[in-house]
Amino acid sequence: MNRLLVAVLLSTGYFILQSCATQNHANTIERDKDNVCIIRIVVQLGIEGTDDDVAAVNTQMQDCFKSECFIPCENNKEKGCKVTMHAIVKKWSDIPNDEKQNWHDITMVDDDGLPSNAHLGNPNTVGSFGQWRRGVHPHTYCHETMHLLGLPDKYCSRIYHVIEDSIEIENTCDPPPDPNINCCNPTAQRTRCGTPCPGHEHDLMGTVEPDLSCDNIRDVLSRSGFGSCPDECCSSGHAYDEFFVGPSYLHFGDKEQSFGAYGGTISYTHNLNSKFGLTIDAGYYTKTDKQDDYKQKNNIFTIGAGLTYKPNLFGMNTKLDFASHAYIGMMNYKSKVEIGGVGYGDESKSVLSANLGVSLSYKLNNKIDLRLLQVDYIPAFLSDGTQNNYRVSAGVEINLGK
Amino acid sequence: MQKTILLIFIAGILYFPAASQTVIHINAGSRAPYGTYQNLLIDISGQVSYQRREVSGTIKDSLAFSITKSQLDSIFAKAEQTGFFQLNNKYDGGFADGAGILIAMNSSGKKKTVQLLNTDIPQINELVALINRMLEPQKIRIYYGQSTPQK
Repeated sequence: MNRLLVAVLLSTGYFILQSCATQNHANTIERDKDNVCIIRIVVQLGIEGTDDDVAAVNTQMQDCFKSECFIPCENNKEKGCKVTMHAIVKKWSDIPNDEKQNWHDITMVDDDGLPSNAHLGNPNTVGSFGQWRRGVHPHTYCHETMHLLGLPDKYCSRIYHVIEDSIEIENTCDPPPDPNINCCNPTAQRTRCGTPCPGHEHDLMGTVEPDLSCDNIRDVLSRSGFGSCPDECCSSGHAYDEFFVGPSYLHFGDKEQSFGAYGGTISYTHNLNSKFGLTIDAGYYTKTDKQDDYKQKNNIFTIGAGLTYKPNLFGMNTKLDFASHAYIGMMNYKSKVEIGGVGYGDESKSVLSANLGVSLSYKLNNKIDLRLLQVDYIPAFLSDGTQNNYRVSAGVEINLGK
Repeated sequence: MQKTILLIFIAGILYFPAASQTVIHINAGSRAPYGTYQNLLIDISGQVSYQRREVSGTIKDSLAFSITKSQLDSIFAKAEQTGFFQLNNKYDGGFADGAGILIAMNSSGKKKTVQLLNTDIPQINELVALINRMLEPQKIRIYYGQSTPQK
């Protein structure tokens, strides 16, 4: 137990150190060395200012990068890549001279009422620079850091030239058009106006009010060549297996007799990809009839294997999952009759059977689904005809390796 | 008599627009989607209209006053002396956000507009310093970051 605890602490420490360790670029954007499905963004900010400035920038950047972002696969929105973001903030004077080029150079000045600024940076290269004001809006440093990561502003603006009586286009939306075509209408009194680009009204790059969004992070990744998730994070190699167990009711009927039997069903599905899986299914069901001294016990055992198909009927972003399946297998029927405690006759027969069915599941969490209902038609192929059997089940699915 | 009235009327029509004609326009401050900027208009008679606004439109300060004819002339003289009319139209420091200044003049029909974005040049600093001395009694200082060191 102690060894396990030490191992957990060591690995946690390793990941913390890895994420905080100084990088070779001012903006490091790369896949995690141990897991290609994790993209790491590390920004190094060197602060030309006081210790309080370093603390203030660090606090804002921790808040800015607090949430993780998920890049879903195109063919399966449940799979994808996770993005982690870290900002390493150091006092400029504490950075060795030969490493300074790998840091953004931020000069802190008192708040003089003017906005902070930043040069647009690039991924995995030398640092950029900017001039930031102290004590400003809590998202300002986050906004400027996204410039350092290469993101442009997402607003348009116009300036009115009073003497020329003309309007200058200062910033335009990319992609166009600007809101209301002309962005905004400056006048002789309001000579500069601006407004967020369409769809960016709640975007940190259109204004400084909103939090950093996953769209902002995706934008950084797209510009850095990390816009999509590698196939290995989306393909069958990362498909999970399912184990199902639950109670069932089997309506067993042949030409001579029919009855309902209760029992349990288990199945195991190895998903080849997000749609197809190979399944093995087995069940045992029993029915006992007693009348005075007469007792008849019927036991049915089924086993089959085949294909499961998930057509993604409810879309990728729902908790409901529909599946259909087709198996081939065998059914064994045993009947034992006792009269007055004395065995009177046993009967046993095994026949070829099939299974055509559908199921509806509800995702409880990443590991467990509730199979709300499964209905199967299980024909048994007897020598003198086909016997029509039906099974209804419900239960729990455990997702293995997810 | 009728001719006199007509002459006065025509003179009035010609005089008043000329008197209110803006000859100096300064916009200084935010070049970001947030922040404030100053807007200063001086007409040919020395009437000054000043506002400080947020980019979103909200007015933070508003003031109207006048400067003397000789002060106005000295601004134009400084502009000539510093070579304002020969400057480029725009100087861009290459930053996103930050601050800038637009300064435009109409000196007897000679028009020129110069814009600085996150940078400053001595000619504009000198000109703005003179204007700021004139604005001191009104506690106004045209500011676009010119005193802070630039990269």
